[in-house]
Amino acid sequence: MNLSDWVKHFFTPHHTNNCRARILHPSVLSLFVALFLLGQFALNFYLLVSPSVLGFASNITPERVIEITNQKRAENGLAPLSLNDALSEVAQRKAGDMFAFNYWAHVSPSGRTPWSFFREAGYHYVYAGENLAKDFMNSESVVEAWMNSPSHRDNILNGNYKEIGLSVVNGTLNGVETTLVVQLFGTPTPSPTAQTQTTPKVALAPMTITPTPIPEIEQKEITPLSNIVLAQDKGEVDSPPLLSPFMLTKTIAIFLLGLILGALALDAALVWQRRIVRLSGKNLAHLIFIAALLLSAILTTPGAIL
Amino acid sequence: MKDLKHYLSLLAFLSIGFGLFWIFNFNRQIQILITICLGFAYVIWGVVHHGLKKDFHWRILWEYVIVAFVACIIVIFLLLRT
Repeated sequence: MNLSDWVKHFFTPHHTNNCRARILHPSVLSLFVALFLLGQFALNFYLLVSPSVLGFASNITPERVIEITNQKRAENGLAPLSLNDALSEVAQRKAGDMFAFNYWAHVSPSGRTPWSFFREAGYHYVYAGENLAKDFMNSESVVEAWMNSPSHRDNILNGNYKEIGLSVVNGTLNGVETTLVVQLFGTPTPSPTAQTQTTPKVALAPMTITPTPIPEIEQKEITPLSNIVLAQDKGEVDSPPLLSPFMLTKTIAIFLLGLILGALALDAALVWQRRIVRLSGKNLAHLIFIAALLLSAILTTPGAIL
Repeated sequence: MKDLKHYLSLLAFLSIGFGLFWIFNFNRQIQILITICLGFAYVIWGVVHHGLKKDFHWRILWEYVIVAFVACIIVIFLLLRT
């Protein structure tokens, strides 16, 4: 079989492929999935053995995030939040803890809550809240993502909060260079007497914690990691990573879905032109379904909030 | 066009799914759930469509399952990368 025959066999309905492009046969589609999964596992393995080679570069500054947050509050008739250095210290500790213990959550795998960080920093609060974000390109997109999530939006537009603390930290999470944004809200207790009388009210986005006493958890010492960089000191990542695992996966995903879509369109056109009768699913339906998922893949952007 | 209602129903549930996917942007768990639901809904659509056309065959079912599986697994792994 020469190259021309092979292309015909692979991409067009022909007597050699049972009148259906070979690329659309279940066996070949299954092979695509197997190769895609194999590639993903290989990428994970590569991230394990060579962390920090692949990653995500962003340009987020705490000042800008706070500025936009206060803009959103002003648009909703709320007073601006004042920056509290102690809260920023808490945010910094929380980000450092996530990198040190390799997790992405409000509560650490050992059960350590955000409020334990408040206590460590000596910040006594009446109300407190936490928003988390990672892998966004800029400050605007971080706040926009939070504003589009009802629970995070509630934190930003909560009239009970008076102060804000923010930390933007670059480090390696699960083998990938990551930019974490920790946004903390708080209202300090008015006086030392009131501290003992007031029950703290805390809110995590997206979940709300009832104001029950927080059990004492064994505090683990955070080991400082050399690969953690405070982004607010530098403004941006020192050197952009060579390649983003997300962009690599997205490129492959779009290529594969586009290839299947193109093959389906060609197959449909030739079947219609040649009036081929065969027992198979509907190409038009497959085209619509694959196109919808291809569009979803194209519109998927990096970044996650919690 | 023949089967217009069938294709309109397909477009309708895919549009709803795509809309939800967009609304829940950055909420990866829900987006993955939406993708899985779309895959199952597509297979069911295929079974009902060919059942009504009276040309249903297990090979056709297998084809819809494979197409749904391939597309969904690619999008889910992309979402897991974020």
